[in-house]
Amino acid sequence: MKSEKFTIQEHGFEEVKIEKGMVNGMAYTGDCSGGRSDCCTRTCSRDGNFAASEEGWEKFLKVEGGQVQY
Amino acid sequence: MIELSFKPYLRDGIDVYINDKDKTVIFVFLSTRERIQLNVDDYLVLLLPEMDGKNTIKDLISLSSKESQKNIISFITYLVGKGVLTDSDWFDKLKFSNEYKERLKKQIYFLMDVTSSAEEAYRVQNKIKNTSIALWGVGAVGSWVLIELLQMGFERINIFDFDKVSESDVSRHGFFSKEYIDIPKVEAYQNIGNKINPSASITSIEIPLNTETNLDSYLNDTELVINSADEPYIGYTSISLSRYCIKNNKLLFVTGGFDAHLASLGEMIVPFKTPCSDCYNSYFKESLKDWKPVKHVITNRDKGIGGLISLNIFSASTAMLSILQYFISPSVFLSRSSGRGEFKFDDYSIDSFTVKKDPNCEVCRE
Amino acid sequence: MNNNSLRLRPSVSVIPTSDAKIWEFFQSNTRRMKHIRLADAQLAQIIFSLNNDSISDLIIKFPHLEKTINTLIPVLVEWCMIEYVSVANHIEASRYYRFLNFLADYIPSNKVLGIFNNIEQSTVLIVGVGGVGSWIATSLAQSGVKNFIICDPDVVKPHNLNRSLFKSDDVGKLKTQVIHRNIELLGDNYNIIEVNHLIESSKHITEILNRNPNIDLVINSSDYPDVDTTSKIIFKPCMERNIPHIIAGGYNLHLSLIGATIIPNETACFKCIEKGLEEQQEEDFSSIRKLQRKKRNIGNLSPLAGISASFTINEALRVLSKSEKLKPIMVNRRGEFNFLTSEVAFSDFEKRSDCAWCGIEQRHNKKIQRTV
Repeated sequence: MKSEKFTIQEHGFEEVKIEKGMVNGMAYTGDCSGGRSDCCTRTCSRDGNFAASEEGWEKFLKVEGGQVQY
Repeated sequence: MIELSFKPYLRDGIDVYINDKDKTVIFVFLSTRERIQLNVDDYLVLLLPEMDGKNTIKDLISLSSKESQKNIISFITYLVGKGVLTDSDWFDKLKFSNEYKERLKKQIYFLMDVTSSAEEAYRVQNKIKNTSIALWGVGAVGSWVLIELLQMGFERINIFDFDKVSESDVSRHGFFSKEYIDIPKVEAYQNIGNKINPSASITSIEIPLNTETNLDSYLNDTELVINSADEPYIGYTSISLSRYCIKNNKLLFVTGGFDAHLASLGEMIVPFKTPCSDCYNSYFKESLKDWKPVKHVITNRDKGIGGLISLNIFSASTAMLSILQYFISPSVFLSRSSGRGEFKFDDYSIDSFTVKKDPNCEVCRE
Repeated sequence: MNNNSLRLRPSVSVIPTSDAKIWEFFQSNTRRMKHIRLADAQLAQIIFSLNNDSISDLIIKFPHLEKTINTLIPVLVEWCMIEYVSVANHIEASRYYRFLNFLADYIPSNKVLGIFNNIEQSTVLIVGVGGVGSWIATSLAQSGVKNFIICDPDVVKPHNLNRSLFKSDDVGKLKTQVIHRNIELLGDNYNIIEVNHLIESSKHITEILNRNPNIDLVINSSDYPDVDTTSKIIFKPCMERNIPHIIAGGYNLHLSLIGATIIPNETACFKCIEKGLEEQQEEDFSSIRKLQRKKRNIGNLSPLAGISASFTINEALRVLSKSEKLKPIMVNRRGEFNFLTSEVAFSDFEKRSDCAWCGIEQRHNKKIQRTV
């Protein structure tokens, strides 16, 4: 499976290689080495239980525009 | 003016290479791999092996010749200034208890290698000994931070955590033992900490860090706060602590190693000198504004997240290194840009990027 | 739900990009990503909603996508983005669930338990359980390794407490005894053999290897009298028996070294690297003599021990996994961790055909002893 090349025409999907700076959907800073180091933990790993205390914290911290990203 | 009775001692942490052909001497500092290269006349080169802490300068002059006296004194003075030579009694003269010195011997030798003098080494170790620490979180990363704090000679530590030790902590926590399962983490780690160093003062406080926490009542006497508490979210606990520390001019270190950043290096927050946690938040809000993952289909993902002990150790260790670097020289430390670094397990590289102070930060702008 | 039910891995996030057909799949444990272009918008929906459906279930729901589903879903398993629910349940019930989920970023769901089993069942010989070795031994046990042979002649001294994983009341006890007990306290079933004499010659190592023919990895974390001496003693028998071995870094006199991983006859061996280093240093230090000094007091530092150990632990787990997907990285290379800047730099070496230990000429002339 590793050596097989998947194409959208034949398989309906294909892997895309993204070069730094080329894709608009992601915001890389000038200094970023492209390793996606600037993602935050928040949405990746936090589970549904997180939401319960979320509102309380966001209010307490009074962050501008809501939602803390770290 | 250096005394003739001074007994110069070629420091242990330095390798000396001599090129007899072109009269070059190279001193290599083993801890930092820094080098000093000199052109040195023969008669001075001959004296180097005699600088063993047993011969006074007077003895060295008599081994050479009276005419060379002035140059010998200049050479030795120069090498003392560069940290190549020291007083052979420097360790015995240090004003620590014998017990403390014996336990911290190797680190003190290390400090001698990386600072310029015995006085500097003493200053740094003394600062370590007397700094009061508040460590929030003694979990996957915090437990290793505590171990290293104690190994390095910190003796005044308050530890905070609301969690209990669970069986699955076996794969990540320092000095894990099945005997501590279901016991409050702060109790377990106070116990462990006292065994590592019975002379240290370790206070355990079993509280969560939440919106109700009265930080002032716990952190009044603290000089350095270390945040390894990522419940419910590292962003919340860090901002909360950061605002308190900026307001009260306390040092804060936010360790790395939290979910999705399993081997990040952590960041030092020095009030008004580095970005604060609110600055980090502003930075990420901007850089992540177009990066919005789909809400995960699985709600309870607690047991689905990965971790690796070596990465916890890595994050705790880089945190302690940064703190030590800051203690050795705040100005050198602050001259480097702030930001975030991530060690990548995939290829062992370190990804890093700069975060600047937010000029509009309501918390830390001047 | 049946045994073939699948779900999106909890640690994997799916992120839309500005191109409606391209989706980013982000593995948060290892911070790696893949971008996949999907012909049909429904496919994305299927993937990020996947929770307890088998391939057959999906085909029933989306018959017009049968062909793509039959290819895409197994590929996503292979790429470690989705997992079998039955395997996930097994992982969640394990005390090592954190490590298993980490492994699952590299090892597909249908193989991950088997690879973890490789790690659990492996036997590791660790020479030196002091400054860096104490971290390595305990951490490998905390990652599931069950079988150890630990060698150290020393007892714990007060000045070991600044770096090794010992406690105050361990002073005076044999280091191997303390590490043995600390591992037992982790709560699993272990098989630990202590060797308490000084390893003075290759003969000592050969004896150990003869008594324990199934050793999967040897780690040298001893530097008395110096790392060159211990490495030569320890590694020669490993070369003869084709046993992978690692130089743990963090040696006194070279605190920031990240050692090499050596796979006999596949990668540069200790001698290849030694020769390579000599050649590198030639320009710097030829016709130069080193001032000999007696009885030096060398310093060390706890965080540097931790960092060194972390690299060796990573490499060891890679070797012990015995998986093509998790090969060791420190092959044909050494590294330096810069204490002042917290940066890592690597230097590369080659397996040399003229090597005294593993060169082509030598192998023809040598009787290679095979393990049982």
